[in-house]
Amino acid sequence: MNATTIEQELRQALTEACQKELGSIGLETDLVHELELDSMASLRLLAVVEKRFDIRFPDHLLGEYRTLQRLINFIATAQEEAS
Amino acid sequence: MKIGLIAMSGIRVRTPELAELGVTLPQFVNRGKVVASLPSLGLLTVAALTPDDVEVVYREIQDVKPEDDLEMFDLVGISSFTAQIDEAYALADRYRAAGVPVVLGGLHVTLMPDEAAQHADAVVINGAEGAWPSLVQDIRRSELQPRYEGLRSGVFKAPNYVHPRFDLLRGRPYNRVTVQTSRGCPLNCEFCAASLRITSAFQQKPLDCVTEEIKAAVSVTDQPFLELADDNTFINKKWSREFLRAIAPLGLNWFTETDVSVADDDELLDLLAESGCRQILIGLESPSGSDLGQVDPGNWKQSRSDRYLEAIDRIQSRGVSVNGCFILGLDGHTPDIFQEVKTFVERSGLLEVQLTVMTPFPGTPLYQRLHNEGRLLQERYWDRCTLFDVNYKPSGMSVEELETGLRWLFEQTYNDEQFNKRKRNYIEIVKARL
Repeated sequence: MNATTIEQELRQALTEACQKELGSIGLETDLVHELELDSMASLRLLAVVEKRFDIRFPDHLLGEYRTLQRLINFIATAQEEAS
Repeated sequence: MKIGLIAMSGIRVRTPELAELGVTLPQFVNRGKVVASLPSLGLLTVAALTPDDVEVVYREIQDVKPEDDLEMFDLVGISSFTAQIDEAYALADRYRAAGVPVVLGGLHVTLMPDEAAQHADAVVINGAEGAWPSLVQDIRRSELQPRYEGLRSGVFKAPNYVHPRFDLLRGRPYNRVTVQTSRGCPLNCEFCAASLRITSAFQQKPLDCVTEEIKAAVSVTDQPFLELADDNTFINKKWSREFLRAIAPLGLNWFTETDVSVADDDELLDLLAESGCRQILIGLESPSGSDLGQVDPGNWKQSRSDRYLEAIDRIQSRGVSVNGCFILGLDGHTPDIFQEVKTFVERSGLLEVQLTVMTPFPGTPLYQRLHNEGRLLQERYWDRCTLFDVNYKPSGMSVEELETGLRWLFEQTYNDEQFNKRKRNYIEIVKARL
């Protein structure tokens, strides 16, 4: 899966999860701030991404994945390593 | 006529070592900060009880700094928690010195009316229903009385019930808004200083009133998170199921406080998740039943403690996290309690943990008992009623052991490693439900 496909799938997954349109959100935009997510909502989004892409974020870095770009990079790397 | 309603609800830990710890482990005072940032539902109710031809201005303490000039009104109503009551009294004194009549109300004032009366032209005891309309009428006639007693029953029935003035919150940066569905709690815990002290019995608001209030409350902010301002929301399981079905279509994210009996009812738990409940706060108080003997008169919590872990599992498996609250320093607690709580928290998978020290709020049965037993460290310590500062001699350890144990437990519970473990547990629960 290339970065563009990952981004499309990611935007779709997050849109469904938070029931908000993510179309205009930039790759480097802080999702927690932009979507005004509380701590539990942030964790639920990470759960959605982990399940959708069959990945697992490192526990000590859970607070780091706050932009689409960081999520895409992690997913791409994880998929590369898996293949 | 213009009435200013001022809410003061900031809480600051007083013990220097704990205050310092709060900087490095900020999660340990998180719940206190959330509570302090909530709008004052009591004053919004007072505003709604005020006749339409009177202008009402709602302010919170951050709007009223000691060095600032006073905003002038024809009458000021001030409400505050025990921990900040002395600041409320100081503000009241300033207004009175400037010739503005002051009314004090709220939980602390209800429990300590004679003290409050020294700083006010009038005090309102209990809720404002049944008192405030008469008070406004009296001030218009320049016949303000020193004391008004609000109703202790029937507050959610016509003609006493009013819909709080949520419109006064519009344009303010709240990330949580509050609605009350009930007053009181039949468990009647000895330490509780919440709404059960202003009501004669548990009172439940009619469902249509609650849903209308919720719609009004969430409409004043862009990203509302709803907090129910109840002592114990799910006492009546039938009402609770109807309530959850009614709010499910509203698309809410919300939080409330209740007891472990919520876990007895599978249908209720499913409805909780479907209605957008994200977290419930439960006063577990202590992991061991042997320490819970004096907590509530019916020993209900003691009878339930052996099922705490199972209850937490059943609730969290629905994706609703539990904020488990523990009170350190209960009679019967020895220095072993700190390790016991640490072990329980790690086994339980609780997403959030609230650790507080037993606090004898003035006017509570706990205060009276400790006073009678000569165990209060000072006669007056209201600014230390923060839930973190120790104000009494514990029965099973020294004051120093309690303070040291608390700090140790804070460090063990609120560090990054434990916090990340709790977050991972919650992520796995959510994934299992996707």
